[in-house]
Amino acid sequence: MTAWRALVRRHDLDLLLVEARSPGPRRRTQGMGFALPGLAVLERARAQLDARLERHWLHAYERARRRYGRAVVAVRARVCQGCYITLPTSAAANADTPTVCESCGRILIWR
Amino acid sequence: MSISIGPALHPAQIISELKNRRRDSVLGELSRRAEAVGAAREPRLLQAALLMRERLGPTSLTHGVAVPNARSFLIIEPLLLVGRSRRGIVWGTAVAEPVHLVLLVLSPPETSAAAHVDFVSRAVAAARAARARQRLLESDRPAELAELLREVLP
Repeated sequence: MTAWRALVRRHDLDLLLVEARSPGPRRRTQGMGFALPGLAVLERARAQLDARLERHWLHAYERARRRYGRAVVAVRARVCQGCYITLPTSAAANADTPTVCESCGRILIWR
Repeated sequence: MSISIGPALHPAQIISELKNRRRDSVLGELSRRAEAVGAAREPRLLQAALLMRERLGPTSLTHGVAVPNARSFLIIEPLLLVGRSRRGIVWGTAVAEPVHLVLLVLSPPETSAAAHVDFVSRAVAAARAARARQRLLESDRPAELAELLREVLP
């Protein structure tokens, strides 16, 4: 799995874990009739995903997640969608290679 | 923040008869349609996100309805997709009842957990009303289905 795919999967999994752990959304989801027995399954899936991520990406991801909640953002028209700074022209616009925003430290996905 | 879904429904957001009969393939089919209508990218990754939600717990409800859902980096704008299956879909080994009506709820990543759950609850409410559900299952034209959804979605 490429780095950007692994980072996107980790990002989406974290969003789901937040939703499943937050008392309000969890109670409301269960109230609609959905059982949520798989929290431990998701946590194991996250650990497996982390084992496949390169260490430097994992560190960058965790650092940004702790600071902002969401660690991965898109780039649109060369603008980081996390801090809205215009990225320098030297920043590589490669759809398959994530980069780190030099301004905010979030992981940038160029797609 | 509440997400508006009713007025934005387009016939392309409705699949009158799903080709697949198994949950995982149906989620793939719906992910591809989400990409086709311009609301999502990378359908295979989106399918993986939807399957991860199923691992938390099945999104099927009673009366042959399922409301799979995801908040994902891959989603560009909030989207409700509707898929029907007259033959029925096998929704995983733990679910005995076949699913005939699928309401797929997608939210972009900046949506809060509470707003996404609110979006899901509106889809669930629409599918719970017996008369509305029956009409959704029986109507034959996508445009008519879209109109019905506009009526029933809160």
